[in-house]
Amino acid sequence: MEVIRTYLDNLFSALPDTPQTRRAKEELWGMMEDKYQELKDQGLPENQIIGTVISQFGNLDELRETLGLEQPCAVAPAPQPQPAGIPMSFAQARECLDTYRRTSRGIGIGVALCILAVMPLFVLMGLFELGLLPEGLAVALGLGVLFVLVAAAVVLFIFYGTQLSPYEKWKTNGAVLEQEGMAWAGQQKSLLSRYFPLRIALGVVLCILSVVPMLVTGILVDGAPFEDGAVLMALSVLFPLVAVGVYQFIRAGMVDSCCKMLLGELDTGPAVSPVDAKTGKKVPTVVDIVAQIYWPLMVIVYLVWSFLTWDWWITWILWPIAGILFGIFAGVSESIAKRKAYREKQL
Amino acid sequence: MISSDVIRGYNDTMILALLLHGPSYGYEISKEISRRTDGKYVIKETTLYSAFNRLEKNGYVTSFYGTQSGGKRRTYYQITQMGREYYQEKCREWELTQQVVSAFVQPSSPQSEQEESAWK
Repeated sequence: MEVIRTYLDNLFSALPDTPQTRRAKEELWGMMEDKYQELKDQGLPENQIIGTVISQFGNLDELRETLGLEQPCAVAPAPQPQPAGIPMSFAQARECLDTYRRTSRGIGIGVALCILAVMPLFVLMGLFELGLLPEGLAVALGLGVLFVLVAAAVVLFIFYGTQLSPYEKWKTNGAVLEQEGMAWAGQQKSLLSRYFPLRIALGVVLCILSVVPMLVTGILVDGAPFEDGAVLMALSVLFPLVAVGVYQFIRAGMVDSCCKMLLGELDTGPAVSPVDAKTGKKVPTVVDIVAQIYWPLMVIVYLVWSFLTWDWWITWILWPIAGILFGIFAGVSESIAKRKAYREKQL
Repeated sequence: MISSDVIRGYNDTMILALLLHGPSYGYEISKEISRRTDGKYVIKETTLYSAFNRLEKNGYVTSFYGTQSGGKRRTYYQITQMGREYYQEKCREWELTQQVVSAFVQPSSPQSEQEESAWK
């Protein structure tokens, strides 16, 4: 019921507040309320009722005509500058959100699989440490499962990644919806945003809890002959918990960013990642250019360092350090670009 | 699927037809339209409201507030004498329109075609 009210409020917020529009709103609300009540009495589920009522509502243009507000543009010639972005139809917006929801599930499962993929290796190594399995078998089996799961995840990434590609241009340039689309997107966002904090909180709690089994086991079995094996087994519990947690982050994040994109709240700007209007291809930013040189260089440094010193046990440290440095660089240069764009806009 | 372009000219007539039997309110009329057409035509809320507005402006209906026993307050619409006359006029117009259009449009009925071929 609330959702329908919000939908109607959003639609009417675009119309001037006159006795006529107020009466129209009241009448329409009455009819929607009656329909809602009847469908409710028939025992239909809430979201189906909302869908039916909203889809049978009609459109605002018809009402404009009736209320004598025929050409809103001609009366007040564009009071605000046209928002930047690419137009998107109502149908496209609906499809976009559907695709994002579906894709967030697929990609979330893919990432969860990648995290879970490591788990068998730890379990099997634990079994080896406990003397229940020969080492060769444990490693072979563990790595085998790992590769199979990662391969499955890659298939998911590719499949769902391609599903998102049609929406890339809106994601980078921002979407401009019509009134109905906006009202619908706003309503969807308020509906979905209920789950957002829940999912994030659940994800954080799971990630924190994930280390508990290992810590507790480590303390309990300290000094016991089977300590290594037990700790490894407890460590393996970490992965499913983290996997579920990360899955929650991805679902919440992707759906939320899609809603923001539809509502034009997404942080888009020509300075960050401009797209050529003609070709639709990204114009490389400073970060893109530096990345092209930086990462191959790091590979060379890693290989040279490792082969010269044969210190393979420590050379891996290069990667986290290089990653953090690049992250800092990318963050700073993006902020500078945004600041510059903002200044230019002000002038 | 009904084309809204075609049916637009007759939304008012349908509403008036339902009001012939007595005053009624928005949702009841919308429901009755769906029922009589076996759900083949579901009138949109904005269409219905626009029609009421138009009919009232032209003096074909009048509106008043009414409360059903234990129900909420609703706007009821009642047909006027002018509305009845307009309805009769639209009925005659439809008869004529139907004759004209039928001269060109043949309802596709695969069954009768089959019968025909069976005869041959």
